Amino acid sequence: MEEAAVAVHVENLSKVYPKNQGKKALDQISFQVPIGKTLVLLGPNGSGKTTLLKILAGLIQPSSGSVTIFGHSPKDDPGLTRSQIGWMPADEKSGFYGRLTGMQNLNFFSTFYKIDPKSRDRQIGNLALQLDLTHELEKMVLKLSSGTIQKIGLLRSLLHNPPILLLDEPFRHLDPHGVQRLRRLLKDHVTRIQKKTVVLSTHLLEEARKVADIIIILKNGQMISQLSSHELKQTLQDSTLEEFYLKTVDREAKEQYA
Amino acid sequence: MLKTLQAFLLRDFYQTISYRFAFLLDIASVFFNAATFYFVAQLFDAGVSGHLASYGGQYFPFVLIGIAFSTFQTAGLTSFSQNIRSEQYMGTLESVLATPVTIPVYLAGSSLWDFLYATGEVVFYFVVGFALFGLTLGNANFFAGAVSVLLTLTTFMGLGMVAAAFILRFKRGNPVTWVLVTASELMGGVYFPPDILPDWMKSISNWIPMTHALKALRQSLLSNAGFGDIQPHLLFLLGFSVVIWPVGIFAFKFALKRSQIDGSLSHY
Repeated sequence: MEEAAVAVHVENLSKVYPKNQGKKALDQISFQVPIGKTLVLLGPNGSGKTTLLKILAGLIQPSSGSVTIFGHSPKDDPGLTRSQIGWMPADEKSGFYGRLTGMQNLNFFSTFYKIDPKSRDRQIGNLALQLDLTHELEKMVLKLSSGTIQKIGLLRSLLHNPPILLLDEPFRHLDPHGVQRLRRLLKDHVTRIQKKTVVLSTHLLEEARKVADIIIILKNGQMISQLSSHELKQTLQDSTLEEFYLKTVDREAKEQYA
Repeated sequence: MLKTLQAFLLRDFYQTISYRFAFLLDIASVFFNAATFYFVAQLFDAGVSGHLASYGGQYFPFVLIGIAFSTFQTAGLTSFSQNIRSEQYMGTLESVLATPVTIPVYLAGSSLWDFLYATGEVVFYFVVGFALFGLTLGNANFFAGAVSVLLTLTTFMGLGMVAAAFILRFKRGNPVTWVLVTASELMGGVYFPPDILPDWMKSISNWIPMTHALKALRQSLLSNAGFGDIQPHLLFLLGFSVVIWPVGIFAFKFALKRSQIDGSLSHY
């Protein structure tokens, strides 16, 4: 893979939380995500998906190893890398101010990216239409459903037109229509037309299969499988991703406790 | 940068007006505080005039300035730390810090509204004092007063950053706020002049920023003191600000880095 075509480069990344008795939240993780591709992180709860995403977003510092976003380290060039990232947390309130409306929240966060108000309003209008949010943005966030808040969270991550999206469980609170809408937005618009790079985590294996160009399965902080969509197709000839996922995770568990 | 600060201001304005009743209670508290001390002043005004000679001789204007301007200390010591804590609780801290905002701008923006709000409260204390309780400031040097206010603000903003660093790191139990609020109430001259304290307490009082802020404010607003008269107090506040601002920014950056290392940025 040519370096110039790589959006995210992770090399021997490890993370030990000081108060976690030396247990590694991430252990020697290495991967690359080419520009315009979607990497999906799978794994049981506590496997390190959120830690990995937060390290990419510069919210957590790694213990060792390196991370670069378009050749820049989130630790050394936080301002530059953060301007290139659209971040969407898994938190139920998606990191919004509950007593502000969706629009007030979006206006607030857009200020940090120095977007001119006309482009911002146009971008919000377009995305609100695609995410079926047109009538929700003037309501106080605390009065909205988790799914709607999550969609506004996605809108916020796209607001400054970043080349990379980091989405922590973006399908989590969505109804089937919402899931379909988000998948189409990611697949057709964000990656195919806009050539953005996406790194997302999810527990919805069917959605993972549909949007992923690369799938990484994490368990106890270790990368136990990495497959491209082509390799995945070959692997899944006679089985589903769910069967493959469970087999892979369980096999690791058996090997660990053998 | 101004647009970013304006965005913080708008954010906090919208949040404040969404709690209308709390806003009304704040206004009512100013009135009741002023009224309480007005009647306390009626009780023993004649007996305290000797201690208040250098502040115009009357207790009500003396204490009104004390309680009004102590709101700046409260804003400074609590606004940064409370905002950080509420951002951790709401989950917005990570969302803001995932943007390209710089730490000094984030800190300044987070406290701007609280200081404006505190300034509004100070003004309202004086309005209530003038309109209802016969307060007069006929002997005031407003220019010296304004400079004193400015230095008081910068001093407490700097202290607020140190307090915020503690909250970011330890979540609760902020010793900076506790020590300063307790010490200021007892020895900072909010309710009575520090001159009546025993000598050992007076020595401590001289190291409390509130003591110098209130001395400068009272002497300029009640006794027409000029810059020459209040210079020692202004120099103390200036020196304190020059030291505490870099310390505050460094402490916050250090606390942030530690929180990023142990992953506790969003913990509360």
